[in-house]
Order: sequence, then structure tokens, then C-alpha cells
Amino acid sequence: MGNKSVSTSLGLVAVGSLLALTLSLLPETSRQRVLAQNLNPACPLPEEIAVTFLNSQCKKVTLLMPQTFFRYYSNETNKKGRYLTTDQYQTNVQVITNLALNQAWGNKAEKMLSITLPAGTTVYQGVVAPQNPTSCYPGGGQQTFIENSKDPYLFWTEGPTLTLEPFSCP
Amino acid sequence: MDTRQAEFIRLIDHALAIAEQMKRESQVEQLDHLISALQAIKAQVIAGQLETSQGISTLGLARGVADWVNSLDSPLLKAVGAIEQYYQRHYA
Repeated sequence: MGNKSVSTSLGLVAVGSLLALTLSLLPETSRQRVLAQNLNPACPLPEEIAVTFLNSQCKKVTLLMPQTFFRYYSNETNKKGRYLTTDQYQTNVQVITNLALNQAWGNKAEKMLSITLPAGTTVYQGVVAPQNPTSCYPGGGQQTFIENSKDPYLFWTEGPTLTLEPFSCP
Repeated sequence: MDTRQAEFIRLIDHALAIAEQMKRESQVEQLDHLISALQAIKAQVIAGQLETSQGISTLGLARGVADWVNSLDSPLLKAVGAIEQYYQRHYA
């Protein structure tokens, strides 16, 4: 039993040393890739936010010039928030399905807002993850996340009302 | 109830407790939606009727909370994030 334990420990040390040696021999980019996978930096946001992007993947971008995004809402409660998109939609159903707006949260996506973010703003961009039930909320639209939707330098403008179609989810 | 269900329900109950505490302190409409969503998911878990995540889909909880919660360090966001991660890893 004791010998087994010693040999197991030696084995683990050997594997660890071999791994360290292998990593040190890899080119810099490969080494970063290996370590990156361990840390899951596919999206430089906390995991609980990254998960809202497809495959938890997003890209951090600092805007070089002011840029306009869109947000869809139906009442004052869901009018302003951190989730925006670059996609312009014509109907509420397109918004609900592509942006995976689960109707249990009350956003019927009847109206659109334009939001202009100033140069220097950091945004996180990716694709909307599907939501359960995925037959109703497949996602797939563009998703932009901002950390501070209450920034006084954000410029929110009312856009057109969307074409409303019946939406039902079994 | 198996271990997977029990752990998932523990995470849901933890988020429910935080949400209900926050609701006692301030009336935020989104908390009502969150509490309803958590209760519905809990019922699906108990009934064994929760759709699998395929390792990709979410329950919409993190999306729902991150949109409006004041601080991104909020314990509520961490709690629903833990539910989403468990769902993707253990209901795949």
C-alpha cells in the first residue's frame, strides 16, 4: 500500500514535470493558447455574464468613435439595460427569437431605442446564446454588453414601433 | 431525488433566498419575474422535465439579472450564474 502510494506520487510528479517541460518548449502563442483554455478567457467577462453569449465567447472592444446600437423593449421596466445589439429588426417575433427574450421576463419587444455610445466605451460583443426552451428562443442574433447602462454620456433615442405579430411558446 | 437534482435545487433555493431578501428591501419588478422563473425551473427539475442544455443553451436567468442589477458583483448575479453553469455542465 505504502509503496503504491509512493510510486503514484512519483508518477504524478513525473507527469507534472513533463507537462511543464512540454509547455516551456511550445512556441509562445501555443503556450498562451493552452493556458488560455485553462482559464477560459474566451470572453473577458465574469462567467455568469459570459454564459449569456453563445459558447461563452465574446470579444472586448473599445470604441474608437461614437457608435449606435439598438435595444428593444415594451415598457419602462425593460427600456434601458446592459444588453444591446447591432441588429435592426422589423418585427417583435424576430427580436424575441433572435435575441432570446424569454417572455416570462415581460419584454415584448414592441419598440426600439437607438443608443449612441461615446468613443472610448468598452463593449463586449458576440452572439446571443439559445435559451430554454430553445424551440422558442434559439438566439443567434448579435449581442453587445455594456457594463454601465446608466452612464450619462450614453445617448438614448426613441426609434420606430415594430410590426407586431403573435408570438406563442408552448 | 438524485444527487444532481439535489445540488441543482440547492443552487436554485440559494438564488431564491437572495431574490426574496432583495424584494423585501426594494420593490423591483424584475425580481418578481426572476422569482417566478426560478420557481418554474425548480418545478421542472423536480418533475424531471427540464430540457437539456446540450452544453450550450441557458435558462435565461443570468441574462435576465445582468441586464438590470445595480452591481455586476451582486450576490444575486453570482447565484444565478452558478445555476447557469451547473445547468450547462450537468444537464448537457
